[in-house]
Amino acid sequence: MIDNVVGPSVGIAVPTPVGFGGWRAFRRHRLAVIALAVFGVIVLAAVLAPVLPLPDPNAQVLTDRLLPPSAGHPFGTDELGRDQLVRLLFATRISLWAALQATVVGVVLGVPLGLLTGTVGGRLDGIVSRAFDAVQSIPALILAIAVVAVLGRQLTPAMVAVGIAFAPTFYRVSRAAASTVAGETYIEASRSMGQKTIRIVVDHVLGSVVAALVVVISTTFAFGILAEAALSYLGLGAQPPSASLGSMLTSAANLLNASPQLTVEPGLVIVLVVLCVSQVSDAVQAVASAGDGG
Amino acid sequence: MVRMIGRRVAIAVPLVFVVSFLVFALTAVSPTDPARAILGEGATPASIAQLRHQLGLDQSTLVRYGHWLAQLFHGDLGQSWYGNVPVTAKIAQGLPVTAALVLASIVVTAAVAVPFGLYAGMRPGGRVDRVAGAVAGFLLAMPEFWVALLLILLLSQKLHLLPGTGTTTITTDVWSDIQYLTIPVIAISLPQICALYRQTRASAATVARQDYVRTARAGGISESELLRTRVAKNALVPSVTLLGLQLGRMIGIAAVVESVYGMQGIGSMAVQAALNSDLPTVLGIVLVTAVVVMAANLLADVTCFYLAPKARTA
Repeated sequence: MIDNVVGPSVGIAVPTPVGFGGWRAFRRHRLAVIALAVFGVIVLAAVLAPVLPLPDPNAQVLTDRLLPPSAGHPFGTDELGRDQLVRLLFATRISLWAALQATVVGVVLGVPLGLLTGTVGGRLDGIVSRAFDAVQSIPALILAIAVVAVLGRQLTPAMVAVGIAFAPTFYRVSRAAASTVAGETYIEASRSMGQKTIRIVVDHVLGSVVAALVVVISTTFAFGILAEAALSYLGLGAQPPSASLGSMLTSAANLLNASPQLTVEPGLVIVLVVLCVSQVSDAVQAVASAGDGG
Repeated sequence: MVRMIGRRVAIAVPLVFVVSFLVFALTAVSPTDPARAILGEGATPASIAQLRHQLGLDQSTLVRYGHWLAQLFHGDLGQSWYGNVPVTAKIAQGLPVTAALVLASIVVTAAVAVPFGLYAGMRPGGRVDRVAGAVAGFLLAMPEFWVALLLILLLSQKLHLLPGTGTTTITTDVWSDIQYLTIPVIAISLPQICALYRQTRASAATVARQDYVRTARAGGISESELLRTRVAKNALVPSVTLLGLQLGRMIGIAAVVESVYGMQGIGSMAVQAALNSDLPTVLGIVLVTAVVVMAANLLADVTCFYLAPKARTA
């Protein structure tokens, strides 16, 4: 049973090294394997979208507005006669890219600093930890809104802000893992043999934090998808004509009663992507905590 | 306890300054000239220069931060760049709406998630556990504002049960307040209920495996008494911490849901201000939000301290 589930961002996941048995244990979670495969297909389709033989997602055919699903347009068309399925595909591309940006920013800001202060401790630890506490007190979406207010309506700065808001979680997980490992005798031994701090971190600490990090990475990625949707829906993210899953919902919301499928479809894609990511994350967490218990 | 609160406040105060400086520093790197944005395309260089002087934009960032900070000590967050209204007045107008929305969501979240979580955690692998676990995973994946849109479609446009959009002043008519709040509160609460349910279930299951619980069970204690006297307090510590964090998340999400529903809270106000590059308003809302979030986390810590005095760490 998954008894050690730690909520999306509360507390600190117990770091456990994922050995070679990790994948074999993961495979036993049937649903997670399916989720991983579906996610892979979605990513592949989104990456390959521009080279696939598809119509232009922004091509308007005003005579074909708001068509119901048909053979030519499996998901129908939107209010400007654009093919809904093709637009969904290109929108997913932008949304995935946006979520990736937020995740990378979170990792880059949080992990190295967390590993460092967790290993070294002392005054540096205190200062850096307080700074991350301060960041933590601003909700991700509010921070993103503030950044957009300053830098203008673009998706990338907004997603960087989301990544910054998640950096404290990466920091705390890495720091906790590092400080646990730093207390072990073999680290003391390495140090007494004259090994440099950076070397110790890379050789001994990084491996122990991987499982915990995978969980935080997938949580952040999933939140990134949801945050992109929210920000673009509000007009603070992706700008027309390029569609993201969120910005597709902006125009669809005006046609909520007349063409509800335009609202339902992008939302379902969001749900599918987030669901796949969280299934994988849950399984990784289950494998990690099972490995911990023996 | 008092010492613990004192120490936490002593940490929180400098944090507010760090936050305020971080946010203010953002304005220093802004490529958009607010004076140009306010006056529009047809503005003359002279009028832009005059407005820049009026807004104090021709001074250095540090001078402006010092000025802003000095004002802050007098409870003044400056003037909005649009409509020339004090930011504090705008926030005072929107805060009750957001507060009602977020507090109602917190209450609903705790009221639903905690009983289910405790019940399922006491009986891991049981029917409630399996069904609720699957449902929670699914609901967690839904964007709140999309849920709000679907609820508007279903409950308002199709079934005509609830108003589809609109704000409420949270003052006189309680029944109308409830009607206006129902859809936004459901939309905001659903994913948070799932997150809190999972946390509560997990920690209840961990506590339920402890030796002292097994001993009590062996002694023939009833399940409800076991829960009340042995499990609940210890199991709820992580849930209370999460609930404190959730308040912050809800304020962020409220910005989107308020905009969907046309509510005039500080969330939708921040969005409007961002679209207009109205920096003083955004800055003020960020600061107020940060203070509220810190207060919520402090309250959560105090509650944890009360629930499990053993965990005297911070």
